[in-house]
Amino acid sequence: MKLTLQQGLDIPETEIIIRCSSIDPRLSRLLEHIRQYSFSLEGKSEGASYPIPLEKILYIDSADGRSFLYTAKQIYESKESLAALEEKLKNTSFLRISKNCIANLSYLKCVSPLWNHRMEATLKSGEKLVISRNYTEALKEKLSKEGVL
Amino acid sequence: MKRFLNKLSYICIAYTLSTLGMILLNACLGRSFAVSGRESFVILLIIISIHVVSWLLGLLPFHSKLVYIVTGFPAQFAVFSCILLSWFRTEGVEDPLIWFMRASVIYFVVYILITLYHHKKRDLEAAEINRLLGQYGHGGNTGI
Repeated sequence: MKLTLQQGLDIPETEIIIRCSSIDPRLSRLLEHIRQYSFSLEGKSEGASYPIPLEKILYIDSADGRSFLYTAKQIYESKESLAALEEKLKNTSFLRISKNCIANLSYLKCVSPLWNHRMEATLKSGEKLVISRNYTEALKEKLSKEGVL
Repeated sequence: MKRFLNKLSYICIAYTLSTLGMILLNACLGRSFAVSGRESFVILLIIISIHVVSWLLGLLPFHSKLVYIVTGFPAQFAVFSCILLSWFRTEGVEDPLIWFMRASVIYFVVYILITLYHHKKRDLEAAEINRLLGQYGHGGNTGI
């Protein structure tokens, strides 16, 4: 893969152009990461709104109909529903792992089985999330589809 | 606390439906399939024991939806118990309740073995995910 970087004060906006003959799993994974850096989600904390870069978000969960964005240091409330966020985060490293949680797979360290047919995901931050039985297959599929970079 | 109350409400609904199921079964199937009050009590007691023991062992998926609990284990167990008891009675088995309790123990042992088998399968599945994750992790969120 050839990498060309053009830097100049005359370039008004950062633009990434990928030239390829076909999108293979490695490229697909690269695109997924680039998309992660291309937009942010709006999160509210103590009455103020902040743009939260996707790569800073560990996971998103919902409770009592409200969605929360979890970063390593802070929790932000999102005005969007979990379903809307899931739709928005398609083709990124985020994946729904249970009815009320979307995890950033970039922060996923390992998984271990639980006795009640579910799995426990350990994040790089040490936090533990539950992966529901219904979402295990999607996780496996996503991980195997993206392949090794 | 809210989740615990949710689970508790599911279980209460499940037991109520199981009891109602047994009453209905008694009413519909007539004397040959009917279970006595004492037998119904034992059936419910066994279901509760299995639930409590499973809960303590962390075996039952209590997080499951209402549909699972309603159509799931307690109602099925109650219906099969009635059929089993009436079959013991028609076969002329001496003290069918004792035999029913023995059958319940066998059922529970088989249930645990099946759960262990599924857990083993899940263990392999987790290993597969971790292997894929190892590959995925090379990109990482800092790798690019």
